[in-house]
Amino acid sequence: MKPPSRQTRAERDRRELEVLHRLAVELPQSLTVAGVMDTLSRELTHSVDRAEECTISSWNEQADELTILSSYGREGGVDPTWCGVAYPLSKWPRSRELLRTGGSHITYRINDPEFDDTVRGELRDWQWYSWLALPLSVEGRSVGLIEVADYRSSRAWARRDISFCQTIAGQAAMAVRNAQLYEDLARRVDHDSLTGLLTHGAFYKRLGEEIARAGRDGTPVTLLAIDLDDFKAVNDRDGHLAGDRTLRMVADVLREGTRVSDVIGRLGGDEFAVAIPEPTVVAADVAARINTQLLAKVGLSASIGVAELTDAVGDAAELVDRADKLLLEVKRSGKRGFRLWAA
Amino acid sequence: MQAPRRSHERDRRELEILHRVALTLSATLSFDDVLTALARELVFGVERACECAISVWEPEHDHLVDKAVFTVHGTPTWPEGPVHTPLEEFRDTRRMLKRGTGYLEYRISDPALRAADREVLDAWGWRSVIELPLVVEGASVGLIEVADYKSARSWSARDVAFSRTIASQAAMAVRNAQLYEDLQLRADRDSLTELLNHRAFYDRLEAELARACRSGGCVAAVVIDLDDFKALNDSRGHLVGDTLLREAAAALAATSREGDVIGRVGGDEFAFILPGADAVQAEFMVRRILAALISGPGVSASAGVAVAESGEFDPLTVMGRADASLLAAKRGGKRTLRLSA
Repeated sequence: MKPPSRQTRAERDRRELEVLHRLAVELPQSLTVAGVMDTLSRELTHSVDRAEECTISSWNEQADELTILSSYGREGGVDPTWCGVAYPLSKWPRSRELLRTGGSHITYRINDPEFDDTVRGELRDWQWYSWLALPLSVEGRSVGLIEVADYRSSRAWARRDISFCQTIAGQAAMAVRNAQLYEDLARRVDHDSLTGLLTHGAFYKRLGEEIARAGRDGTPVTLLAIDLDDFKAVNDRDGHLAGDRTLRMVADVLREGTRVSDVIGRLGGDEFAVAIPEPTVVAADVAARINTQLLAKVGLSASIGVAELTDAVGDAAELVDRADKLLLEVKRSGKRGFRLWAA
Repeated sequence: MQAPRRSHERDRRELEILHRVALTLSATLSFDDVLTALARELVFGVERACECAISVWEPEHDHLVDKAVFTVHGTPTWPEGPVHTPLEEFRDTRRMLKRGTGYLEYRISDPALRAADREVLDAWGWRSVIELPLVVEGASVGLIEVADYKSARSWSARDVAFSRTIASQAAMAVRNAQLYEDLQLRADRDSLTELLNHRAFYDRLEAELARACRSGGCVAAVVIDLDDFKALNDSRGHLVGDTLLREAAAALAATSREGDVIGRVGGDEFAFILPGADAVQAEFMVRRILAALISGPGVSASAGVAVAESGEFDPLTVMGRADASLLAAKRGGKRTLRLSA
């Protein structure tokens, strides 16, 4: 084969630089890791010669598995069905080695002797005849794997294409790191620093979302307004540090006594709230259980108001208000227990 | 053949610069660092540029605040504190910022140059300068000035266009840094009172204790508890309680001196760090604070104070002592204060 003329090489240099520049401008458009990954997989697919698909996964070293963050095909664009799919690295020892050692890249071909017929069949289904795997490194540590696949032939990859992919991956690191920092910070902002529960503002926002969802699907939302009985006495008797410890224990009880789909917030000093996507009867069980557990584990009881979303309740604030009123009734009639709202 | 190749070369060089700018700027999430990097890239990237200054526009105050400057000789020494430039005298600049497009050019040799503009050019030693808005998502956030020390001739359209292109590369990095810094402020603040939250307060106390250990000074920690707040909350509802907490926070902030740190560390518990205060000074401050709570929102409070001994590093121990003296104060009747050395 004739070596490329100087003109075409210069052309290609320029084209690559344009891609790199476009990427440098586009990657920071998003401050979420998912958004950055979608941009990266799209750009790799379109700008690497003969690439048909790019899949990026995050690496969980302890679990020894990869979880797909973004998968992009030249034909179909972003394929959301793959997002979140986890697969064990035990099947891909060379990829694991690459991530551990932080090597530059490896290539796979469907005909590689390491694959048995099952794997080969799977690869044929995906049309992964030949692919390039490189680590996504952020600040010198592998955090994920980038795979660029050729659907047509099990050819070898040109050195130039490999190094181009590496340059792109290196450039993406900064955007990934920024998105990670931003998302971490956003999580911190939404969670109370003492108990890890949602803060006042974040709870109201989530409750609003739950109410909107309930409006769409016709599912129920019930709110528990929880106020610890005589917490102030603990604080005044044993001091604030002891009070802080107690609040952490209460938060644990709330987390253990509810399901992942329930939304838990700390609304004030010793005021908590839980939103449950269930009708009052079920929520009442939760309220009773919370009180039992609080007594057993923390040695405190709580007064709880339980109110379910109805057509008469317009928004989050009204629902909280209604549950709050019930809670005050419990307080006035001797604390410890819960009161349901009867329509 | 000669001319097109040269322009081709120049295109490529410009693309390389733009690429580097986009990469360099996105390397940080600090607002000041992004602006300093942008000023540097403009000086290196624009042919005639000797100096670039970037200021942030605060339309609500109708002024500019200087943020970053870079010269061919590097970063100059910066005056103490922020420098504000009112826009009253600079209507064209203000108009350009409002529009978010266009540019302005000032030359020392221009006989029509206004006195106010000449003063600026003279003060900085600029012979000629262009001003552009720094635009993020369609709106100006600041002003970019690219200056030439040597020549007072007109800037070429290409120089202006290239400066604008470089500046536009910064938009996303500036936006990201703004979002991040806003979030950072929120992460450290209690959303109701905007005082430091529990974690941020303890972090600051740890830092202040470490500083006191180095400098040999002392630090006082104060815990303040509103009397009978819980009863009010229970009888009149959380909204009334929230209002009182906000008023109390405002009163506390108003009494604090520069350098004092205030946090909301629990429902109705506030805390102060008084750097440099010994027991006597701390007591004086706490009396002022308690008086302000009564004269302002009309609540009485109890307080406990602990003065950190030199060599004391652990914020929990210091706060534990302040807490213990608060408890003693409460037992001795509310509206009081207790000291622990």
